[in-house]
Parts: sequence; structure tokens; C-alpha cells
Amino acid sequence: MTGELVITFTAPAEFGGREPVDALIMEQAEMGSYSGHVTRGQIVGWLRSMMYGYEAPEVDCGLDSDGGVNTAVLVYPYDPALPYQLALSHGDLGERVVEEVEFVELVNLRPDSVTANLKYPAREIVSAEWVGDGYDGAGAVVPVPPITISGREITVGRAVYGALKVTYKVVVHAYAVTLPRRDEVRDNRWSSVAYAWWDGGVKWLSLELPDGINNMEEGQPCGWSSTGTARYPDDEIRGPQGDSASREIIVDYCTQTIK
Amino acid sequence: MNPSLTIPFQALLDATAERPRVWLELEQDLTALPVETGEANLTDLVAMYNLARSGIPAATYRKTVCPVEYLDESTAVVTLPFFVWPSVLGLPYSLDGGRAEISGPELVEIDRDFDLVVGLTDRVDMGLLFEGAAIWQTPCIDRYGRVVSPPRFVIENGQVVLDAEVFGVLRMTGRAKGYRHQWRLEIAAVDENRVSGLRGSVIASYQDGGKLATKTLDLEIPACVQDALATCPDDGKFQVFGSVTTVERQTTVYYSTCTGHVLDVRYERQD
Repeated sequence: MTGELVITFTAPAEFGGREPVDALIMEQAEMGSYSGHVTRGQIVGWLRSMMYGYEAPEVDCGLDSDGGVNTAVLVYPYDPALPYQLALSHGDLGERVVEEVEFVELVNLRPDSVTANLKYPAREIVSAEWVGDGYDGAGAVVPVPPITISGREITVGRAVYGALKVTYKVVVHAYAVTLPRRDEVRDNRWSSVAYAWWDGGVKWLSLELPDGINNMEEGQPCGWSSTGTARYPDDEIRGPQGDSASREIIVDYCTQTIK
Repeated sequence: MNPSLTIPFQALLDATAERPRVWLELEQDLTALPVETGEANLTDLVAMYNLARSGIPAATYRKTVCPVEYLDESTAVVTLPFFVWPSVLGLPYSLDGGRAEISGPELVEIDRDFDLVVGLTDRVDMGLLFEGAAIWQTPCIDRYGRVVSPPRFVIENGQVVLDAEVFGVLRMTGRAKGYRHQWRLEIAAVDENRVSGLRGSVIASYQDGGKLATKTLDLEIPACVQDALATCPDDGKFQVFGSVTTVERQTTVYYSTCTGHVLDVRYERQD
């Protein structure tokens, strides 16, 4: 069977013929590098505290005192005046805090395109300078072309290989996020999705949680396993005793390896 | 103006009948790995403290809860369970674990609670056969940013199928059906490189519409495994935990069969 398939391009009439529009970037603030882990440094610190009575270091499980996870969502609107709404599928969202932050970004340009994009929508370009020479497709050095930057888009006068160092200012809307523990469920107790919607579109972001948090069992203190076989030292002295003050633990600063 | 595009076509007669989609997913059973197999925790710290107080370097401490068994001083076995989630129970598939043996299938039903993001679509793969309930956690929003009535949906063949394309988050609560297998690798102590570079993977093969399809699972091998498999410096044998229990004080002394060093001392309190 043969025939013709006719496709007619028509934007949905119920939205006035407009297409969905991309209007913002969403990100989650980074968790601490060691969140969810007991580091070797903390272990040595704990040994030091137990042996010599120093203050014990705290373990960061990424939880607050109520067992909730605290994090933040960052929204970068292309237009700082964009009216939009932000919500969570689970948890509480703080007030919007508007900040202007400065980024320094190295943008690689390619000889097959006269445009490139910044990671975030620039509100103000502080500086833009070429890093090194420009090259054509054959690898020959060529004069660097003029550039223009508008929002996220960088346009060069002529396509070249090259790198551009751009310093720019961005408006960011920061929202504190608290994710309480769902007591009534078996797993994924803190999982949540942040979503923003505006006249013309919707975006969402599944929130990352601290490492190991879903493995924590009911009532388990941060940093402790609930089923460990060793117990906290009591006043019973175990094994042969030596002069503890004469012992020394050397930890490599870079690798955190106990030597 | 409504521009149009005309595409001549020749239909494939045998392509008109819609086939049910066939898929298979692999997942490591991380619930089988106790918390103790991961990074050090404060329980380890106390054990290390006890070692240090006993005059033994805390660095000699090794975790004792680990998916490693020792057949003898020169052979260890690492066992890691994983799931096969097929689109339909009874889907024929084969598994290749390389040097590792793969046990036969065990039919399992596992309780699951999870968020499912419906991302401006009318069909979402869950990646597992699921029976249970789904409740909207968010309003439903269309691609133009308008809040709309939640569409009707059904859960079938590992998918959620909706009446309309929307964004929304469903909370899924129910049971997943599939198979559990064991990945079992014997390691000889003579090959130190194998121990230090321990990696595991499983390749599943199945037929999808007459074509061979494969899925690969890279197994997470807990840090404690390589730690426990560390060879003795002198004779290349595994560091095995031996234990002696003294009845009168109910004290268990754990020691390395490689070096004879005491690794841990456990004392049971007498009430």
C-alpha cells in the first residue's frame, strides 16, 4: 500500500498558537563533599577524643535534628522579572532570596558554528577575552573574530576554534528546602521533586539526597550502624593495656590513609 | 498560516499489528549488603579504639560483616545478589557473569515505595513489573504551564499509561515481581591483581521482537570485600579472621591467620 501522509503544522489553538517556552534553569545546591560519610579524619578525631578527652568531631549525615534533609534549590530565570511558581512534591520550601552572583566560564568555540552558549543567563557581562589564539578548521592560526553576548548566547563574527573566558553576572533565586522523613513508608523516605511552572512551560528537578540516607534504619543515630557487632566502650578494660599516651597515629594529609 | 509537509510512504503490512513491548532490567540487590559493608561508621571506630587500647594498630582493623567467605586460606568466595526485572514473568533470558557463576532464578516479590515522575508524557516505564497503588503528589501541569485535571491512568506491564501528556509526580506503593540470582565469584589468593582490581558485571540476553537484546549490570562491590581480600604481605594468602572464645570470661579474640596478630577482642558482659 502506498499513499501520502500530509502533516500540517499548527500550534495548539487553545494556547493562542504559541509554543512552549523555556524560561529558566533549575539546580540543586551542592551537598557537602563528605555528607553521608564518616571520614578517616573523623575516625582519627574520634579516637583522639576517646583516648585523650578532646571534643569529638560531628558526623555529617545531611540530616537536621528532626531527621529532615536540608538543601536548597536555585532558579536562574532568563528574565529576572519572570512570574513563575515553584513547589515540591514533598517537603517545605522557604522564601525566595534574590542574589546577583558572578561566574567565570571558559567557553569552547568550534569552527562549525558561530554561536555558543553560556551555562547561565547573563544579566551583565563583566569581561570577555580570548584565551590563546583562534584556529581555523585546518589548524592554522587566524585572527580572533569580534563577539557579541546576549542572555546565554554568544555570537562570533566568524567560526573558529578557540576558547573564550567570560566573566558575567547572573540573577539567582535561592529557596531553602526541608524534606521531612516520611515515617509511614518503607523506602525513599525523603525523595522529592522540585517543579516550576509559568505562563508557557514547566520544568522539574529530582532532588539528590545525602549518600547512604536510604540505608539508615529506624532510630539509627547518624554515623552508627544499628546492627554492628562491636559495642561502645564501657568501663570494662578490654585486652592488654599499654601506655596510650605513647601511641601516635599518622595520617597522610592528602590521601587520609593511616600510615 | 498553516504550512504543511507531504511525505509519500509505503506501509509495511506486517508492522501494523502492535506487539507488546518486551524489556528486561537488571538491578543489584543492595538491601542484601548490610550497612556495615560500606564506608567506616562509628561502630568500626569503637572496634578500632579497642584495638588501639589493646596495643594493636587501629589500621589493622577489618570489617567482619562482609559478603566474603573463605573456603580455605587460599580461596575466597564473593557472593552478591541481583534482580532481573522482566516485562513479563517467564520471559526467556540468559545471564553471563564472566568468571563468576550465576545461580538459578528465585521468583521474588519485593515491597517498593518510590516516586515516579511523569515528565510531559502519557506513558512512563517503571522498569519493573509492579502491582500496587499510585497517588498524585503534585498538581498536573501541561506543557504550556497550565494546571490541568489529573488524567486517568492505568498500571500495566511495568508502565503507567495516562490519558493525557502532563507533568506530575506519582507516589507508587506496592510490590515488584521478578527474579533474584546470586553472582558468585571464587578468587584464588595467588593472583593479587584480581584481588586489587576486583570488578563484577552481569550481561543479560533476551529476544525483543526477534532481535537479540542485552542489558549489562556493573555490580557494586563493597569496599570491605577488597579490604578483606587483602593478601598477607609475606605468603600471599588471604587475611582470614580466626577466633578463640574463652569460656570463663566469655571473651572472643579475633586474629589474623596470616600474621597471628590479634584484630579484635569482644567481651560479653556477665549479668
